[in-house]
Amino acid sequence: MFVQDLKTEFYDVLVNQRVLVLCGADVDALVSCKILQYLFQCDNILYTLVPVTRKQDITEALEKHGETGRYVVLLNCGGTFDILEDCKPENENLVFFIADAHRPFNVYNVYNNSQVRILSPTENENIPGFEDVFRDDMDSDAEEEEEEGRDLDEILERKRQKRAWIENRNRLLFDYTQFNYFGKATSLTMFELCWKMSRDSTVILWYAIIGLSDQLVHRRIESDKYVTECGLLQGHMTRHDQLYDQNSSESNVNSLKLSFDKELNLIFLKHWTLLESMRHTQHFACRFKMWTVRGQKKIYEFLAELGVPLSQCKQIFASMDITFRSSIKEWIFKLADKYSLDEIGAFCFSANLGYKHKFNALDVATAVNTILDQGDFFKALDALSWSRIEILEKGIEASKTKLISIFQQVQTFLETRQIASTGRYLYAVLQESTPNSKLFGKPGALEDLAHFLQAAYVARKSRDSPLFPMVVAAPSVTFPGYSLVIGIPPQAETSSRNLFAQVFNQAAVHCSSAIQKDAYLQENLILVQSEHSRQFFEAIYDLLCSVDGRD
Amino acid sequence: MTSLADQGLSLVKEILRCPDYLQPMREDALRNIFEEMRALNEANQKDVRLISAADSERSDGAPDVHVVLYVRHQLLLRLRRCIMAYLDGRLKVIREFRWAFGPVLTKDLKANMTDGEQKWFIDYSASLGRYMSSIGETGVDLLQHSKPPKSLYVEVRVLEDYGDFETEDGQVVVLAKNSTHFLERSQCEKLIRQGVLEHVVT
Amino acid sequence: MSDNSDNEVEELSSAAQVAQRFQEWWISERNCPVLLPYQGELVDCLLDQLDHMRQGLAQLKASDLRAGLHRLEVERIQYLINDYLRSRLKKIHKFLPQRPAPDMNVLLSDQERTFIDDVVNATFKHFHASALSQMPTGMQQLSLPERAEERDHYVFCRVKKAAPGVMVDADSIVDFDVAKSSQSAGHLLGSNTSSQASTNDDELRKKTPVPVVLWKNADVMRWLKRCCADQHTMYAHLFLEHDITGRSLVRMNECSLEKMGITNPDHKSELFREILKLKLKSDILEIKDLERAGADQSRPSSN
Repeated sequence: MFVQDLKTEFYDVLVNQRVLVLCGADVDALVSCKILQYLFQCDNILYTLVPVTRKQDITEALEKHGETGRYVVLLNCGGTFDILEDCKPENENLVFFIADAHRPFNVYNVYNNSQVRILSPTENENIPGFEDVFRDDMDSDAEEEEEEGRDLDEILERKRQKRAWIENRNRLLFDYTQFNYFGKATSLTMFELCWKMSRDSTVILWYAIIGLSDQLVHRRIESDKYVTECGLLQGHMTRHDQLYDQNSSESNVNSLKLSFDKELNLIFLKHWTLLESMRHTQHFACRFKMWTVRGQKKIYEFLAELGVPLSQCKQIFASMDITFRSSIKEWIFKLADKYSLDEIGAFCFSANLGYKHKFNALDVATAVNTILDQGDFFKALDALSWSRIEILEKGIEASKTKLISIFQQVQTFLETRQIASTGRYLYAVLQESTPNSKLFGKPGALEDLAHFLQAAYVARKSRDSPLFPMVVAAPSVTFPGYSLVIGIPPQAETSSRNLFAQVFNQAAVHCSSAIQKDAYLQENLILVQSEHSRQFFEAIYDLLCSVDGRD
Repeated sequence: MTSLADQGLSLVKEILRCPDYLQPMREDALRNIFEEMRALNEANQKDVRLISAADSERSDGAPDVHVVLYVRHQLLLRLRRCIMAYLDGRLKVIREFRWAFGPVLTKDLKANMTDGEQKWFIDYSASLGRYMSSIGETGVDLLQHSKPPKSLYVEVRVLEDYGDFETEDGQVVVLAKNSTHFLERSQCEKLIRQGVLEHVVT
Repeated sequence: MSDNSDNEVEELSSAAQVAQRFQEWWISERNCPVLLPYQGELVDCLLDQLDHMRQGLAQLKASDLRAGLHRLEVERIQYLINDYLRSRLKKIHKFLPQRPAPDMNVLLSDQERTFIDDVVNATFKHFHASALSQMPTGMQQLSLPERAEERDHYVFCRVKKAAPGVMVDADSIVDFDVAKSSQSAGHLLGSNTSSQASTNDDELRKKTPVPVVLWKNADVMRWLKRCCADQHTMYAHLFLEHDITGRSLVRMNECSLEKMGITNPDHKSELFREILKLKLKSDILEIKDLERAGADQSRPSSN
C-alpha cells in the first residue's frame, strides 16, 4: 500500500513506539538513516538500527529484533521483492514501512494493505492493475473440475478465460520487472517529511543533497532530473539563508553554509592535484585517452593552452597559486567546446564549515561510498557528522587509492586487449592473479571499474559499442571461490534502466548449481563459482540474443 | 644493611610506578624484609642486654653501641614504614576496582590479589554498601550517574553480543553486535561502564 | 554558626530553593580542597523530593511533554546528590586509613563516620594479618596519627553578598563587593578563611562602613543586637541609658562594664571580648587607611 501523507500515516504512527530500522548499504540509505535518527531523537522515539547488505540479513534481523516492536522501517531495501514471503517474519502484526529508491516495486508489496506500507512516491511506473495481477480463483483449478452438472461449454469458456488472464498477467509482470531502475532518492523523501514538520535545518538539507549527489555519481538518475531536484533543493537553501540572516546579526563562522554553483566536474579537485584529478575523472580521461602516450601529450597541450604551468598542475590544489586557482574554472569552461568536453561542468552543492572545511557534495558521496564499500557501516555513518571530519578525510584518501587502482587496471585491460566484445555485450574478466584484484572484489569498486572500462572502450572504438551493455567479473573477496559479476547498461542509455537483474536470474536457472543467490541487495550483482563463469557468460549471451530477437 | 633499605625502597617505588594496575604481591621481598627485621631486632636486644649488663657494672656504656642501637631502631621503623606504604598502596588500587567495576570480583581482577586483600575488598565493599544504603530512605547508588546527564536518551552502539536486555518498561531489546540502539541513559550506564555498549557522540 | 545554618534550612520552604541551595553547596564541596560541613538536611530533603517526583512521574503518561522534562530534572538532581557524596568520599579517602582529627568529626555525617570506622578497622586487620604479625614484637603496634587537614590551599570564591572588612589573614582585610556588573568577582583566598566564610552568613553592611569612633548610640545598639544577641536582650536598656556611643565603646574595659551594671562575670567577659574584636577591626582599618594615605603622599616624591 502506498502512503499518501508521510506525517500522519507514517511518523505519527511511530511516536511512542519502538522501531526497528534496517538500512541498506548505499550512501542514499545512510543519509536517510541520519535524517530519520535526527527526527527520532528529537521525539524520543526508541529505535534499533541494523545495517543490512543482503536479504538474509533482513531475515536475521527480523528474527532477532522482531519481538521488540511493531514497526520496521526499511531504507533502500525490501522494495523489489516480496518482503513477507522472502523474509518470513514470525510476528504477524509487524508493519513494514519501506522507503526504497530501487524500482520496480514488487506487486505483492504494492497490493498488501495490511502489513506493507510504501513511503516512496511513484512516478509513471506502469504498475499493473490489481485485477490484472490478482484474482480470487487463481489457485482453484481443481475445484472447477470437480463441479459437475454444469454446462461443458461454460467450463471450457471459463478455463480459456483463465488461461488468457494468466498469460496476460505473465506478460504484464515480465514487462514490469524487465528493467531495474531507480526512482526518487530516499533522502529527498525523508527531507520532505522533515520539512513538512518544520524540523529541517541546513544540516538535514546537506544530508539530502548528499543522497541526491550519490544518485548522480552512480548514474542512477538522469542529468535533467538531477537538475530539477537541485532546483528544488536550492529553493530550500535560499530559504535557510534568509532565515539565518534574520536570526543573527553577527555571522557565526562555525555554522554550516551551503552554496550551489556550476563547478568543474573533476573528482576530488580540491583535495588533489589538478593533473591527478583530471586523470582519474572518468569522462575527462576517456576524452583525452590519458592511458596512452598520445593522450598524455594531448593533456599537456591542453594545459599549456590553458596557461597553467605543469609545476602548478602537479601541486595540491590548495597550494596552487591563487591566480590560477581562482580562474582555472573559467579558463576550462572557455576551452570546453574546443576540446568537446561535454561533461566538464556540473551543477553541485558545496558545504562550508568554518574556514577550513569546504566539501563538494559529489566528493563527499564518493568518499562515503568507499568507506561503506569497505564494509564499515558505522564508520561511514560517522563520516557524515561534522565533528568527525577526519574519518571523511581518510575516506577521501582511500577513494583516491581506489581511483588510481581503477585507472591502472583500465590501462592494463586496454593494453592487453582483455575487454572482449561478443557481439551482444562487452565483457572483461579480472583474473585472481592480477595485483589489486582484492580491491575489485567489492560491489562498489567493481561498479566503478565497470563504468570506467566501458567508457574507455567506447572512447577507443566508436560505432556500435555504445549500445552494448557490459559485464565485468572479478574474484570475490567475501566469498572465496566465487566471482563477483556485475552488469551495467550500455553507455548510450541515459536512464538507469538495467536489465541484468532479470538476465542474471534467468542465466542462473541454466547453471543453477554454481550460483549463490541473493548475496547482495543490488540486483545487478551476482556471485558465480569461478569455474563455471564461462558457462554463465554463454548463458547471458543466449539470453541477450533472445531479448534482442524479441525486440 | 644498606640492601635492606633498598629493598624497602624498591617496594615503594613499585607501587608508585603503576598506580592503576595490581602487580602480584612481592612475597619474597616481604619475607626477606621480615627476616632482616627479626635479625636486626635480635641484634638490638642482644646489645640492650649487653648495655644493661654493662650498666650494672659501670656507669658509662660504650657510646657507639647506643648509636648502633639507634640506627638499627630507625632502620626497623623505616622498613616497617616501607612495608605499610606498599600494602596501603595496593589497597588503594584495589579500592579503585570497587569504584570502577562494582562489588563483584572477576577472575582477572583477583589474579594478583592475596587472600587477605580479597577479604579486605569484601569488607570494604560491604561497608561502602552499608554507607550507600543508609543515605535517605532507600539508599543511593554512588556508582551511577557518574556524568552530568545531558539528555534522557542516548544512542549506543553494541560492541559485543550481549543478548537480551530488559528495559524498565518491560520491553526486551536484543543487544546484538553491530547494531545501534536509542535507549534511556540511566539504564545503559552500567553496560557502557562494562564495555558492552559504546556511547555514540555526533 | 550552626544556629545560623539551622535557621537557613527552616526558612527555605520551596523545592526550588532547596535545590538551589544544595547546588551551591555542591559547587563549594567540589571546589574546596578540604571537607565542608555535611548538609544532611538538604540531602534528605532532596531525596524525599526525588521520591515524590518519581511517584508523580509514574502516574503521568509517557507521551506527556512534561514527563520528559521532569525525568531529566530527576536525573540531574540525582546526579547532584551522587556527585556531592562522591566528592566527600573522595576527600575522606585521601586520609584513610588515618582517622580524621577530632575537630573534623563535626563536619562528617553519622554514616560517614561509621563508614570510616569500618574501613579503618578492616584495614588494620589486614595490615596485622599480612605484615605486622610477622614483624618483631616491638614493631607490631602501629598507630597512625590523626590527620589534620592542611589549610594552606588557595581557592577562588565568588561573592554572594557584600561583606566589607572581612579579615582574611592576620594582616590583611578584604572588602567583598558584589561586582558592579552582573558577573561575579572572584577573590583569591586562603582556604582557611573561605571555609569560615562559607559557613558564615556573610556579615554585611550595605552602606560604606562608618568608623567605630563615629558610631552613634543607634549604631552601637545595632551592633550589640547583631553580635551578642543574648546580651542584647539582657543589657540593651543599660546601653541605652548610659547612651553608649562608639567613642565610649572603644574606651571601655571590664571595670566600666561593671560600673554600667553588668555584674555577671561570664557575660562581662563575653561582651568585653566582642568589644575587643571590634576595636581590633577598626584599628586595622585605620592602619590600612593610613598606609594608603602614606603611599599616596610618597608617590609623587618617588617619581
